[in-house]
Amino acid sequence: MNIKVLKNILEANDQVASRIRADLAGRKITAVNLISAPGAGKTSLLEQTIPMLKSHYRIGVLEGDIATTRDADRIGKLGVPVVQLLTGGACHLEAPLVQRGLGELDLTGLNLLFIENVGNIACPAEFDLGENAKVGILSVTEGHDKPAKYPLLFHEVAALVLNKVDLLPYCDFNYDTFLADFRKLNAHAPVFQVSCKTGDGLGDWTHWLEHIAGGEIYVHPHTHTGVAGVQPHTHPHKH
Amino acid sequence: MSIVEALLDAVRQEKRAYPGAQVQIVRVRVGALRQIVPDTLKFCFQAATRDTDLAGVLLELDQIPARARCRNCRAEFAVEDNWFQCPHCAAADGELLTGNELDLTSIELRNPPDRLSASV
Repeated sequence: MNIKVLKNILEANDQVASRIRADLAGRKITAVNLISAPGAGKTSLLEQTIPMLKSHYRIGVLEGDIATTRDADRIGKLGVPVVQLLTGGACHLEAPLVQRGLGELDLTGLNLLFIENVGNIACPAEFDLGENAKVGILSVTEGHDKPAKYPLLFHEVAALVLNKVDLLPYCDFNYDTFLADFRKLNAHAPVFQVSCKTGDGLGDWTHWLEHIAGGEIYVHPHTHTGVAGVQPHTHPHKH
Repeated sequence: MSIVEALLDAVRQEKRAYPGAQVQIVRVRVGALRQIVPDTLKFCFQAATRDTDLAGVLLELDQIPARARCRNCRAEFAVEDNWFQCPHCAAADGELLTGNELDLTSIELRNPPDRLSASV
């Protein structure tokens, strides 16, 4: 006997993600899911970003890792609430673990939540965590061919941070090839060239975060309009 | 592996309505843009079902090609090598029509109980 089912296999994850999204929207918290390969600079980017925004925004962080609390320890030094999520072997975060993490975090008054995914640019792109925006981080030392090799992530991101640009003179990263490949996957997401080592370019990135903070905007890379992929908005800051 | 575990949860949930029946085949539809390697999925499926109530079940995969519609000229095109660039007007702003599927589509059962099979 054949039973027709038609059921999304990741439905259980997606249902939890929808609940997280609704809960965060109700609290006016904007959630950003940071995805990159190991060592591209997710934690370093947070170490640079949080001090720049801390005086205007109340920030919380969920740190995803397979093992150890090293990243949470680094973020904890910045004086913002952080909860370490340990996947116990899994190479990506899933919505139920994020939901448990949110239960541990004091969400009162938060405006901005960073979810640092496990270092991996394949699987994390498959799992909705209830975020408002996925942000990809690529470091120039990884090579310009990564959008072509991992298309799903680069198609999904609302913004891309290109890190370690201070090393461009020392590696074979071809920015034009990278950008041409990226644009075939993602027509609108802004690209921020930064160096977490020197601090270069971080202003444009934090400016974009300020644009999306507020929790009411769902930033999908393929629906927004305007310069640098920013939705029409009211300004909580000065230009 | 998490995908296989989610799949097995879904299969067991469906199977619960047919006590005593044995699952023979599980059919899954996978879009081309999903980062699923068919052989790896089958290998994980085998490993995860070994010595369980679903041991020996066959996993059949139906692969769905990716197609998109250009937001600029509205033409439909095949997304080849995962590029979203429209072959007609060269705009890189395709809206995905198919290729993102990851669905359990059907289950083949043997020995379904008589009293329940009448109602399906």
